[in-house]
Amino acid sequence: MVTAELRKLLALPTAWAGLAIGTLLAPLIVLINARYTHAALVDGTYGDVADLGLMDLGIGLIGPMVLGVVSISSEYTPTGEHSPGITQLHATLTAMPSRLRLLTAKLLALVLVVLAQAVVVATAVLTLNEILHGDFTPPLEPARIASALLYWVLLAVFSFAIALITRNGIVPLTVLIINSTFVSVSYLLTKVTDLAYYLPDIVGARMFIRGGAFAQPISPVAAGLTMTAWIALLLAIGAYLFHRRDA
Amino acid sequence: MRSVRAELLKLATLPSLRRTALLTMTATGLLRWAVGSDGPLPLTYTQAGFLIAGVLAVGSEFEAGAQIRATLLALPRRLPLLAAKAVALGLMTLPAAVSAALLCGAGMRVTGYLMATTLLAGAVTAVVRHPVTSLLPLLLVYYVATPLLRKDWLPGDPAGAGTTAAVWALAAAVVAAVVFPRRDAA
Repeated sequence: MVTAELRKLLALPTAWAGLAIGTLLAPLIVLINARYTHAALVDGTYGDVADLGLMDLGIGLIGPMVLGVVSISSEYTPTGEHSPGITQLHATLTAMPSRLRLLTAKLLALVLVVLAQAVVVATAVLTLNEILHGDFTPPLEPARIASALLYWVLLAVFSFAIALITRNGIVPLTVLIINSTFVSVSYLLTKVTDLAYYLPDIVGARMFIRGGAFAQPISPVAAGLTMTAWIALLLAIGAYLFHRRDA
Repeated sequence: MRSVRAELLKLATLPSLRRTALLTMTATGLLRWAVGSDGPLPLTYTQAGFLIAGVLAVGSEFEAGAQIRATLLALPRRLPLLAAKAVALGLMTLPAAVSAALLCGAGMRVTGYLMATTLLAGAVTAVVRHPVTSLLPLLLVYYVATPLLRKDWLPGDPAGAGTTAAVWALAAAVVAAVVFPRRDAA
């Protein structure tokens, strides 16, 4: 069942676009910014040097987001012109009528793929930073790296839950991707109200980033729990709707 | 002229376009209110709605059911069809672009920029023929490459030179004009 969902996910061209972009983006940006980062490190304006390398793992989240969204939205794509109103989900549910088991299988497949991607990206980014800024790289902290991997996985599940509620790929994907870039709405909201520090994407990053432009002190564990609570809530709503709605 | 009218009718009856326009305007108004200042900031988000509009307008032809086949049956000459589509998309976008620009306190230049953004998205989708897959590179250029590289020749900066997005839209339209007549319909 999980194997079937894995094969379906990895057969989607958009999923591969997400895999490729998400995997290459962070290392690419590390390379592009190398000179700037090095200058900042030398004159001490970098900020918290302990975040070096980990900070870059906040980039490329487009990967888990695309994977999470297409895992669901592909099911709602019509299958062909000779069967109007029929989507892939009809075939999926014929093969696997238990909807909650289907969701579990989908989630497991998604988590496996995103985890693999996150491991590759983390290895690439940390190795690159070691090569480029060897004198400055902080000692490896397995717990923080694991938290970064967890952040990637949780964001994929978050995107999955949102797509499950909206049953559409384009709108959630746009909102999520824009929110992960330089013009993040969540980040903008933190300027308006301190409550925005508890939005899932903002609070989640606190699991592995220490310094930075964060005014509110939140411990990594609390951050992880808050993000997980958000996702559990959205996933519960999504699962309930998926269980009750017509396919 | 009749082909433009037909394309206009098709666009006007697409529910997803109406929803996109509504969402975009609501989000723009809310952001404008939340940020509480003039300037291009809300437009950075508003342009996403215009990207989506272009993607959906052209993408609807290529969805399963391949409406493009029926369209080509009625209008077999592909370049005039493409031109009619571009004109119709431009006309449809004009009121939305004007309202968005007014909402953000911006002028004519931004109106043109937003229209060029929609046309660029439409042209890219005509080449890629899959909504989500064509949205990805567009978002990457607008929201990752432009703010990161800060080059004048990249579209995606509402405050930048208005002609850049237009040139990109034109280039994408040329690619679409080369590719579209040479491929199978769907």
